Amino acid sequence: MPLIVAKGLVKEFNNKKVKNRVIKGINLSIEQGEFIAITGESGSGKSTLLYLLSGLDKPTSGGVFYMGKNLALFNDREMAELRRNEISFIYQFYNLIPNLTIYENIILPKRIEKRLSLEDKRYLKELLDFAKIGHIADLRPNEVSGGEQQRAAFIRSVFTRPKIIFADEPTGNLDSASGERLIDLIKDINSTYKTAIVMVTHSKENAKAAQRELVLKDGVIYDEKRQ
Amino acid sequence: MIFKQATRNFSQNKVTTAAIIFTVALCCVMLFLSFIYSQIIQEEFRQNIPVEAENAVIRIEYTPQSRTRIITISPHLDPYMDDIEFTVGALDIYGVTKIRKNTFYINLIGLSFENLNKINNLEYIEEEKEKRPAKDDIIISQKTAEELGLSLGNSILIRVGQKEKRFYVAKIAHDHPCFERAGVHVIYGVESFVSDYFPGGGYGNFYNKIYIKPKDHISPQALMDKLSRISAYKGYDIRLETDVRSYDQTARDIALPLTIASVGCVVMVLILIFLIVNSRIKKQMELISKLKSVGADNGYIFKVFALEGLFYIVLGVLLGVAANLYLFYKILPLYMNINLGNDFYIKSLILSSLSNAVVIFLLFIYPIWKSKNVSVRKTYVSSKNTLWKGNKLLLIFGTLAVGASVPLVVLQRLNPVRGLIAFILLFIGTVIIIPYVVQGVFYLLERFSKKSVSFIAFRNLRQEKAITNNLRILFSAIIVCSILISAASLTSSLLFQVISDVDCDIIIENVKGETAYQKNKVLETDGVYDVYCYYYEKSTMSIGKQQMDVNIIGISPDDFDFMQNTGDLMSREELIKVLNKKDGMLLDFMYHKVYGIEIGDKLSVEMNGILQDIEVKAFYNSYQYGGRTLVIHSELMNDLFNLPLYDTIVLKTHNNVDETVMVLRAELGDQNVIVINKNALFGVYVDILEDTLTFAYLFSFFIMAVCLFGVFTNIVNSREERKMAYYQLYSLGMDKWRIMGIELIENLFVAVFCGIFALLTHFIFSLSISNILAVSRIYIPTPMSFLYSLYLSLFFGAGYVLFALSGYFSVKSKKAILILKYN
Repeated sequence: MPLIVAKGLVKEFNNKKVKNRVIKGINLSIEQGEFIAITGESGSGKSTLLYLLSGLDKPTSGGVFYMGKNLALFNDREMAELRRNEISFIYQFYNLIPNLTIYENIILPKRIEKRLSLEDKRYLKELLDFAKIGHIADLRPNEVSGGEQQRAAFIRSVFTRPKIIFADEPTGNLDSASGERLIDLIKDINSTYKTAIVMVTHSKENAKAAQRELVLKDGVIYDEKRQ
Repeated sequence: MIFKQATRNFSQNKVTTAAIIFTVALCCVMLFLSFIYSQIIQEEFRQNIPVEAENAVIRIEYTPQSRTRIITISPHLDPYMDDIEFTVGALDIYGVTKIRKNTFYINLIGLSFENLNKINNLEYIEEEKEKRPAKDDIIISQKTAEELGLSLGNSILIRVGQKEKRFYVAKIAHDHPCFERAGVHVIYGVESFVSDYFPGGGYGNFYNKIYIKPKDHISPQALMDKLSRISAYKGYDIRLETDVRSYDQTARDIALPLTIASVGCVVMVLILIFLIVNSRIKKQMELISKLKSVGADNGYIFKVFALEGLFYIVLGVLLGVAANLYLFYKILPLYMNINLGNDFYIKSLILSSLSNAVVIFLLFIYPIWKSKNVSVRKTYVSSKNTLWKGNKLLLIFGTLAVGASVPLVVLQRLNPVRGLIAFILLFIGTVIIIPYVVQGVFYLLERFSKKSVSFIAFRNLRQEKAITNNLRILFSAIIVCSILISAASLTSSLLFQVISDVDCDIIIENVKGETAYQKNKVLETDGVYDVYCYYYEKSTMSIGKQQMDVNIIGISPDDFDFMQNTGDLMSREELIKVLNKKDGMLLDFMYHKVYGIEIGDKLSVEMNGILQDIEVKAFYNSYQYGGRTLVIHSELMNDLFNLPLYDTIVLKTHNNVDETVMVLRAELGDQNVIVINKNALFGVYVDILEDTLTFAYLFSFFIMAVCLFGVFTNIVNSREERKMAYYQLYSLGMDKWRIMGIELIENLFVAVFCGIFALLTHFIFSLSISNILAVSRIYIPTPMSFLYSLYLSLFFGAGYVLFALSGYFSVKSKKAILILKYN
């Protein structure tokens, strides 16, 4: 069964009596363990599509089905559970909570779930080493570099062993070396843990890391490339 | 993790945290003060009520309408002895003594010493135990002994009328309320010796006062009803010994304006806390969205913020309670005589703290609760947005609320509930619509603006959230402070009124004025002027089932100048013309405004045990006797109620007041007539009133400080948002003078608009407070002063502009572009 299926997805924004249709009837299927890159020009609807697929936003018409269940029917508590256990996000601006340490930020989803086991702690150590951020675990976000913050945000998204990670321009705010390092990490996680990745990016280089590249233009999938 | 996040949120911005805790604490203090203020004033008055017989319950006392000047206990009270535990008779007369060329007024009370100890729990400093009781013994207080220079065994020559007798000090008692009587020294002598002054006296058993204590199971009121039917006591005043009702009423009248103002301020501070919390929650939206993106549900977010709120409340309330305790035990006793052992204060402290904590907690959690439906994406969008978005429904509600408040208060008749509803509707409605009006005005102005400075300023004025908040807070502060200052000023007028109910130098009471004989005698006295005679009695009147308390003044038109009249309804000449017709009464306008009494209505008035219907002929407006007076022609009163034409004469003198008192006492020569220097009579009042007024001003300035603090806290908060705008303008190449220009225009317009709104709504607020004050049966046509509102608008406006502009200086020296990049 596909992990996520989008059927006839439409999204309109109403602004002062002007309807702006950003997504114009997209059909899409995402398999488990798949790595998809969404590319396109500014204003093509990439981020909006990501928000719709991840359930952060609701479509005007059509539906998004996660493991066969329509996300529109999930209530707030079920969506929160889904975000805690099955899907994760990485943002361009990291979105770490400023008054918690890097370590506390990473374990936050498990703390909310109230189940941080010894096994989880071992796994976290492994991930921190993997991302080479073990030495900054006790520092606050404003005390570390942007690359380190983004890797920490990525580790936070991986730590809950989600089935899928949505990444919105994850390298957009990083220098090229840090960006490459992050993409390598994402690829490793995808291949090691079979975690599906949906990544919005402007970078053609980054898109090459994905197995499938969807090119968006004016709210529709204009082109689809398999690598 | 919830605890950790809550504590870190709590300690993140120390200035805001301190501001919220301080505001919560102040709210506690103000609520506590509004709870206890009236009680403190009442206690202050009660402690100064002259108690003649602390163990007695009922007093029968001579009045000018008494049929006889002296009465006996037996046989009149014999039939009721089964209901009575004890009766004590006393002869209460006035005299003078001269010691070392100084004249002292003496209130000589004759009763057996055994009876004196029965009615009062006296403790003696000195007494001659070996000495056998003699009929010329007297008991004096420690204070009298010191002031008259008397000690045990000393003699004192007392003159009553034309007779003189020498008395010997047998006992000196500790000071006690039974020795307190304004302007005179109270001396207790043996009844048979004192009664010598009365025709047929000399053997005792003749009294002009009887103190009675009913048995425990007997209702005092029922016994008083029985006693009032005894024909021998006709005309004598039969009342409770410690009747505190009239004092309580005066105290409540005085406390009311500031109590209402302080409750208004509590509401204002609660709104302030809500606005601070709300603005913080808007800032916290980003955090909420971050938490939601990692899977936090509404419950988790709620717990984090509610726990944080709890920290503020616990610390704020603890600080408030500590401040209240300090205020209560250390500060207030400096100004007032507070009974620190009274449970009421502790209960008030607990109740005000708890209710405060609950209300503030609800204010804290409401915005969090509101955020539960915010989607993660929307939260991101709104957290980056400092623009204010109106809500049409809210605008309609605000407009309707303002519109509805007007008809509620312009009605003829006053109603405190209507007044309160109008006040709340007008306050909330105006607070809601101010930004909409400002938005509308600047939407138009922006179109005609050609310069970038004014364009940016106008655009900010109509859409910045921070400006919206400032508009609302500044307006609230002006209104609340205007009410508060008016309330303090009103308290001062009401206090002054208590003293100036009777404007004179000397008061002659207990005059049995059947003709103008006494008045003429007084007029013949050298140096005397402004002599007015009137009859005064506190009574009740009714119409239908409505019963009203009233102070009845029987007066002849010649003496009508005694009545104060604000003159805005009918001139003094017209009122005298109506009074001269002797066919009805003049009534204070309060009874029309509060009870709906109209001209032509017939009111049943009770005096001297007689009930008569009297028609209302005209209204006047006066604050005398708390604004609860009725004036009737003295001859009509004499006809209808069989009362003397007057019982009181008041006068002024060009000569020495004390000497004039002496002359008058000799002229009038009646042992029951009381001639008192008014300053001596009101001396005790003046002290209480001065203390009360000091406290009232202290209280009002304290609350004003809270309002100022609230406004400036909000400016400090909004300054954080403004800083970013400064940096952006710098980065776009604007110089500091242009930026200052933008700031000046924005803040000046905020101040101007708030001032305009405050002045426009002033009259409706004033009318609604006029209605609210009717709760205590007071009619004050203009409780709020327009001038105060104007001055406060200017003061707050100028303060606001200067303080807001000063924010510019704190950032101007920084390297704006670098800061912008960093942010």
